[in-house]
Amino acid sequence: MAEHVLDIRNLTVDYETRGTRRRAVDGVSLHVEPGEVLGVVGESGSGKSTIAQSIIGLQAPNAHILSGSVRLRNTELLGASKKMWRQVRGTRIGLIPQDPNNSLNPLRTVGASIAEPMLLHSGQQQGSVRRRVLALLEMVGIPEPERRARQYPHELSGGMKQRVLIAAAVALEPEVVIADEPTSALDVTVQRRILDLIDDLRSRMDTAVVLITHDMGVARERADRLLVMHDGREEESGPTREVLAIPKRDYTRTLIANVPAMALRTRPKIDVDESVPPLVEVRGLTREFARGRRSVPFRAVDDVSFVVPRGTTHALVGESGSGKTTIGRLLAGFDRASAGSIRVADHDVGSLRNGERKRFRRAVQLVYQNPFGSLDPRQSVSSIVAEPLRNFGIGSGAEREAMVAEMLDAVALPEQYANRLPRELSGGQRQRVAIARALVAEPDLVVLDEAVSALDVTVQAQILRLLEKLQRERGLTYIFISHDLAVVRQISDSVTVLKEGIQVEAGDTETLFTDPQHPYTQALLEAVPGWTLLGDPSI
Amino acid sequence: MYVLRRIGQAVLVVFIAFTATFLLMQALPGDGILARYESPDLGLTPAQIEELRVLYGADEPIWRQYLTTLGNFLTGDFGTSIQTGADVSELVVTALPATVVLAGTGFLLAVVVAVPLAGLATFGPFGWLQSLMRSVPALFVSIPAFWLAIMLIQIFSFRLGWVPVIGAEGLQALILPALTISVPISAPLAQVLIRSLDEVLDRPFVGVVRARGASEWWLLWRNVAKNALIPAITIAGVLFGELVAGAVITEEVFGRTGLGSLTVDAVGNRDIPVIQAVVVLTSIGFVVINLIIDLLYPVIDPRLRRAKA
Repeated sequence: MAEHVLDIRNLTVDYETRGTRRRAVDGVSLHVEPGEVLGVVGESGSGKSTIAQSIIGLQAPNAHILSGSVRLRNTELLGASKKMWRQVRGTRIGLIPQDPNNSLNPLRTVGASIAEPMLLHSGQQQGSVRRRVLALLEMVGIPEPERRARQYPHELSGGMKQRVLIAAAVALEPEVVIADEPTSALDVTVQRRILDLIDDLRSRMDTAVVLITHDMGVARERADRLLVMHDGREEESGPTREVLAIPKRDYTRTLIANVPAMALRTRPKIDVDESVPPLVEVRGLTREFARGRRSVPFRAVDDVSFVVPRGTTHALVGESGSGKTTIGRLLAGFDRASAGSIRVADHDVGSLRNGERKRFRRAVQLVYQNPFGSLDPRQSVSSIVAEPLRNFGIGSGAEREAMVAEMLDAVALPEQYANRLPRELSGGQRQRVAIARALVAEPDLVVLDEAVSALDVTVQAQILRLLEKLQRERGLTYIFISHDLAVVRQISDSVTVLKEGIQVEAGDTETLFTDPQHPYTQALLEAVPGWTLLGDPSI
Repeated sequence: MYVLRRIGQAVLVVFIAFTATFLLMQALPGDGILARYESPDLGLTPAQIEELRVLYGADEPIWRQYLTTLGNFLTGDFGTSIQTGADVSELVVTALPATVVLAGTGFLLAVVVAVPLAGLATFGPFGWLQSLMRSVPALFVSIPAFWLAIMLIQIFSFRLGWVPVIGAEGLQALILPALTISVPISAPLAQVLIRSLDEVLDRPFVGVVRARGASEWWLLWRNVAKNALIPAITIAGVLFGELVAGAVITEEVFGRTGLGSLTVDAVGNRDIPVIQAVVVLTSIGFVVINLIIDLLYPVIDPRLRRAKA
């Protein structure tokens, strides 16, 4: 038993908020061996992050560890002194954080951040620290390490920042690395490269990795063993293949079923009536942004065309910077095209007049990615949902109330939530409110801009089902903007794949996904966690 | 280019301050000459007063007076005080050092108190000490300077007898006024510092630095302090105005000579040339301080630096 690098026994943690206690982790045990990846999988609130924080002694101030033991080889970490924690952190345990964009000190060069653990612990000379920083940058795959080391975080992309954070985490070759949702803030293609890098370092340094994730697809591809968490308890654990092949618990089965890449595509092929004109018609759409006086303008969208028949879902797919959000803004009439045309129903979006603009605004609604930022924190749920009705002057007071109640019911929000404030809701519930607000004025077209990207897979699956149900019942047309091809495959009927503003491939979803033509589409597909394993009979 | 534009804006601000003061002074009923010579004790006839007005140029149209004064200011001639007949530049130059010493000491004292206080409130040991340090600035923000000055004199001069009320010299004379002037600066400065330290400590990167095994000291000095500094120096620039207002009250209460007492006398006597000179001087000080702060931002925060060509 002494061979485990990390051995957690019977860990129980409570959170105390204003006198009330809530159990976050309830008697969980786990262990990791050198060179092994343990995937800790569960929804938000399942206690997986609390476990990660307890391993490195950085739990929230209101967390109380009631019992259990966390041993790092022969060292008991629970109840360790501050001094001992400082000696363990960075040297024997490394942390790869969740959000690379906010995890580096913005005022220090990336070189200084990577050097930090060495300066804190090893007492190396300036010169040797510098050489080691450059070697680490090279190791994590950052070109031109000399130049990059002198740069500040804002000069690096998200994936680059995560590489820097990984370099800092492994600088002193720790025995255990905790990767807490290391890629959930990144694009799929970047996600894949970062996971590859963690894998590579693990095998090179024989590090034990605790990989915390809500995405069963990621865990399936990367973990040797799985620990499935639910409501602070262990649902089940074992070798990844066994857990996935014969899940013992219903909850595990749900988690697996909710991974878009592993779910079967259930959308029936649609028959489009060619005689009816499509609801949306985009022709040669181009949007340029000026870039200073002398240089050539930047083309965010470059000659994009597609049509969307009424009642169907069209997906715009691509990485960050592919121009998909710009198209969404153009469709909603928030921005003007440099060239080309957009027609929605009988509106020419490029030349809306005042009265028509109002009717158009009612016909086209938007749902944004961030369910935290897109709801007024001071308005109650019912008042948020009623806002479009007030703006468009629909119905009397009592009628509006009835319409809001009906809408909340349609998005499956219980009645008692009507008077709550956004901060009292979970991410999924907030997104339901945003959807209710978009639908209450009965639009023809809904632009969903990364509307499920910030959500856990389980919640994501629920919202996707809700969107499909509402589409069937109300005959809605969706423009679904996403970087996640697995989700797109599930919800869309047709797809446009975008790269740097140019449409590289387009067609109906089924064909495009089974037989992608463009190398970029193929690369995007391969990057989806769990994709390469899809249909693998051995699992 | 950026620096030149900022300096241009600064010059414009000083010019507007000059013009506004001039217009406000003209809008007041009567003028300094009437205030000085109309008193029946002097027994001057209206004709004689009128002669004086011509002598001072007060009979000319406003726009000509404005242009003359502006021209004189640009050549460094601040005119003569109506009340004392002395050269305004000389009055200001005599009064300035005492006020600069007072304001400088007061500001230094404010920083010396606010910084450790904010540090203790966020990084200090014991919860009770932290909450105590958090409530102190809020209390002192609401104390008016004149009341504080009177209390300080009551306690330290009359009760304890540590500092003589009259005839104190050098450092001894500076302590209580500097303390008075520092409190209205120190308290809001500490509040802003505490807030911004709290805000920085909430950011995810702090946890990542802790996970590298950093001590609280390392965290504070190497990572948090610099991030928390920007809002604090912004407010420090705004508080410079407080310093000038503080000097007026403090010098009056403690009977010190300086720019503050000079201003009070000048306003009382409607001694327009002196007021005009003080306003221009103060606005130059204000503008220079804020210009320095603006140029400091990019030094502290690389994100505010211009992209290299």
